[in-house]
Amino acid sequence: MKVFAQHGHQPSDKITRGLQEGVISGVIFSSRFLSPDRAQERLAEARSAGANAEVLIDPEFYASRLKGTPNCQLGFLEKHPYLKSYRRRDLVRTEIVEQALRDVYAEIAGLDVTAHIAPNIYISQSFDSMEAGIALNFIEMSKEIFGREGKPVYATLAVDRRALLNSNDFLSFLNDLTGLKNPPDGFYLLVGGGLITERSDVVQSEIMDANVIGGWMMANFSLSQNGFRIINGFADILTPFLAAAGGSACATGWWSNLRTFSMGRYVKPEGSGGQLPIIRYLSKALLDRIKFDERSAFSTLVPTVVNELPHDDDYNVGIPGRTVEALQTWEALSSLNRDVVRKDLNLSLTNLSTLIERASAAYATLSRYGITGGYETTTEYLDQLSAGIDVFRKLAEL
Amino acid sequence: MEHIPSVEDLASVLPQLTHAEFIAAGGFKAVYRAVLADKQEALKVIFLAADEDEEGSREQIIARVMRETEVLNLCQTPYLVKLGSMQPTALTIAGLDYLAYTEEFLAGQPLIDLIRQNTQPTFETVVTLTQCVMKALNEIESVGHIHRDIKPHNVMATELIERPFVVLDLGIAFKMHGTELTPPGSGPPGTLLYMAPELFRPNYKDSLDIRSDVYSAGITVFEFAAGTHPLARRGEDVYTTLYRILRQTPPKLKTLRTDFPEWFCDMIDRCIKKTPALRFRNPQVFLNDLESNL
Repeated sequence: MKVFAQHGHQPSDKITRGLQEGVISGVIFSSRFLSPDRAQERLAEARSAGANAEVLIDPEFYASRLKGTPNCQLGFLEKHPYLKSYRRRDLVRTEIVEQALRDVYAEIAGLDVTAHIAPNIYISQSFDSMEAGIALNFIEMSKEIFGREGKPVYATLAVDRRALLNSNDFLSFLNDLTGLKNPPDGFYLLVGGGLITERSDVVQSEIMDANVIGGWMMANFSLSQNGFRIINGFADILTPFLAAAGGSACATGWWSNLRTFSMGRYVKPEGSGGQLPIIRYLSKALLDRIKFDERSAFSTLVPTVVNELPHDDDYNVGIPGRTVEALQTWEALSSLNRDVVRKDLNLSLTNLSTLIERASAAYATLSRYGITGGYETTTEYLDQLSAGIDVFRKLAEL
Repeated sequence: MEHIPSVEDLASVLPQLTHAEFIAAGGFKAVYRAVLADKQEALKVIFLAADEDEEGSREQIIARVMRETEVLNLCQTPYLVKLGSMQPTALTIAGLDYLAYTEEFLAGQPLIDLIRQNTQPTFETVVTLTQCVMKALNEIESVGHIHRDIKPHNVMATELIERPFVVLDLGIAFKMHGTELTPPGSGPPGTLLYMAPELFRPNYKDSLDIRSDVYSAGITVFEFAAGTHPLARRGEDVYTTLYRILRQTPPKLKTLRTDFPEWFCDMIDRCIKKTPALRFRNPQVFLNDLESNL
């Protein structure tokens, strides 16, 4: 299981350093934040930073549903002719889908990526919907149109969390997906949440739901069982869970909207400005991010809160910068993958449960010392992670 | 089958056949062993009901026979029964209509008989069965069909070294993207104990594919290997069995055949997952995995 960078606003040298250090194995560039004029240069930088770096571009075609709506913020996507406003009833026509795929490919062909991410729409509510049918049509034609250069093709499968909640429809969709006659080589899987006006922390709480986690794991499991490679975008702390279920790679970034996917990321929030988020530390033992000063305080009571990985040195000497924060996240996730993932699925799931129990025990110890923390340091989400494994076991018939 | 023609009746309308001998009957079909042009063949005689109100219309039965012979003509694999020298021929015996054709005669025992004899097959024998059935399914899929009735009754354990197991009876084969042969509201065809869970859904044809056959093949192999059906229990009513098929997780094959390698048991367990997306995508993928493990 590999960890990728989820590219976004203000990348500075985070990606090149991550690749050079080996804490990430690849990057998914965002077309929204990648200037078409400098795309080739950025790709070359990434490829030279890591010898075997996997370099992909997400065309973010699913954002086309927001094209022309008030307050949308599409960045460089506005410069791409493929990002048009489509009516849903047009997209049910195969020739329109085929043309949409060709339009995206025309702009991406020739770029020095290691594999192509083929576009798709966003399934906003249900797998038993017109959108799901359209999405299948996109997927079925992806390989034919994007596979001409012989590079692997990952079809985008972007779904709202609500679609994962109806397990019958979800499983039927997986049956259709795994039965396609002309499948892609793999999938770029995005699970989003929240209304487009909601903050990313609200979205995160929606994703941290047992049924969503279990469903996302199930998608990784069944698709990988069928020989597909799965790259999970915006996976963040769920990385070891998706890796255990069979995912090939997970991506995360340095802002909260690069850690959790939401269509809200394409809409300007009401009001503007505000403070930059404070620097945090991803503690393996807590399965969560904590503030810099919390790291110091907690570790005196529960020493395992500190990961004891190379980037801990940067935190030991003072508040690090945003780049180090990103590197530390990738480093911790890679380490979690190594701790968890085994060839035997049951063993991997047991390891995940052990991680959750360890985190609960650490929080319990902190709580005994009177440290209850705020919202993000509560243990509610650990219950959801644990229940998510149970949901996955049931869906996967384990 | 009603109105089973006697050997003498058949001899009167098919003088080219000699040494005819009744073997078995079921549904609308009776099977005989007979000699045709100095060669033993299996003669299949299908009763054609005159009345549309009879169970299964005349046209439907004729269409199924034609489909079966069409598929067998297209397939080259030795693990599927071959057609004999007599093409489908209309017969009238005592005022009743029949359709008759021949297949090769395979000496041996149906797999179900071996299961009933409680023979604990060796791992090598079970692997051979699995390979034969999956290769037959692979061929059926390659010509755009699904068998839909894989079960131990339809697999013949032969005495032929190069064809140790042969799949029979494509009478309810389904043609993908083809003409509907099952009337609306008639329910899915097949044998309940070996039918994949998705076939019990009202809209099962929406997503029907070869994975339903992979399931039936998995149940068949499991039953042969373990000597017991993974879900059905003797003497229980059909609703209980149906519940088990739809809801109950079968035991792991490894728990019943501790002498078998775990990887093989896992492969058979995967064939009988309730969700098609969790099974092997097609028989070729199964065979590739099997090959890489052996």
